[in-house]
Amino acid sequence: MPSARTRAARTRRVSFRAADHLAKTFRQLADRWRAETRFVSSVEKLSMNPSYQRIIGMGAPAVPLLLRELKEKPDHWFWALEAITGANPVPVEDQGDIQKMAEAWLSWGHQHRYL
Amino acid sequence: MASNYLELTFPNLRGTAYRITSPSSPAYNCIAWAAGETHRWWWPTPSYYWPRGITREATLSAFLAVFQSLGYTVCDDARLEAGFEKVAIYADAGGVPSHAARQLESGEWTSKLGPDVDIRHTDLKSLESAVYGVVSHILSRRKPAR
Repeated sequence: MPSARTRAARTRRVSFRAADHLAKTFRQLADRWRAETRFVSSVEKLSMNPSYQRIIGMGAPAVPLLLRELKEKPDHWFWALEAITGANPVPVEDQGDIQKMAEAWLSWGHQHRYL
Repeated sequence: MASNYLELTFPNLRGTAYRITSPSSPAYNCIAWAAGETHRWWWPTPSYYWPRGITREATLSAFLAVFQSLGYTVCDDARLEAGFEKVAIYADAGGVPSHAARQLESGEWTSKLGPDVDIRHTDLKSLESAVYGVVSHILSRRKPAR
């Protein structure tokens, strides 16, 4: 029977692999979403894109990835974040201002220990 | 500067004298650009900018109301008229607004293509496509005094 230390190491390896897989899947979906919606203004169409919907379907584990993406390259991830978390930290006066919307979500992410 | 990636999506641009006039940016969209802004994304979805008092719905009547709130009225054609500026609203096959363009003093049009680049295009037909559908309405207003 493996020791507790061996079991813990195995669990860490599995969770690292799962996190790595999730990050790669996220990257592929995010890139595909950008390519498929590069000329789209409609927020509904941006958000209903199948790749975007698959990111929403990843649930809570996608939140840190979305926030990091938002930090590195502000983009329209707000619908996904709201759909997954149920939160909306964007003040009314900042609606539509992508930079300020991103800042509001990053601040929320720090407060809720996603970052 | 012509760019084939644009012509793949907007085949009516082929052979026309269009040019890219800005880098890509997710900060503003075609509606904002047609209204003269470059720091907000205008769309009726909650959490995005939409002029106060206008119904938050992606319908032609709501989009017309946005430009009417800026002093535009619906007009008949897209010809250049001295003393007037014009915008055009495109709608998809379901009649849902998809894009807006603004006329320049030269008579050309300027469009922000979603989160991608701004372009100058010679006419409105250039952007009629599977993505944007066709021009639905033209609106005009007297140019503000400078």
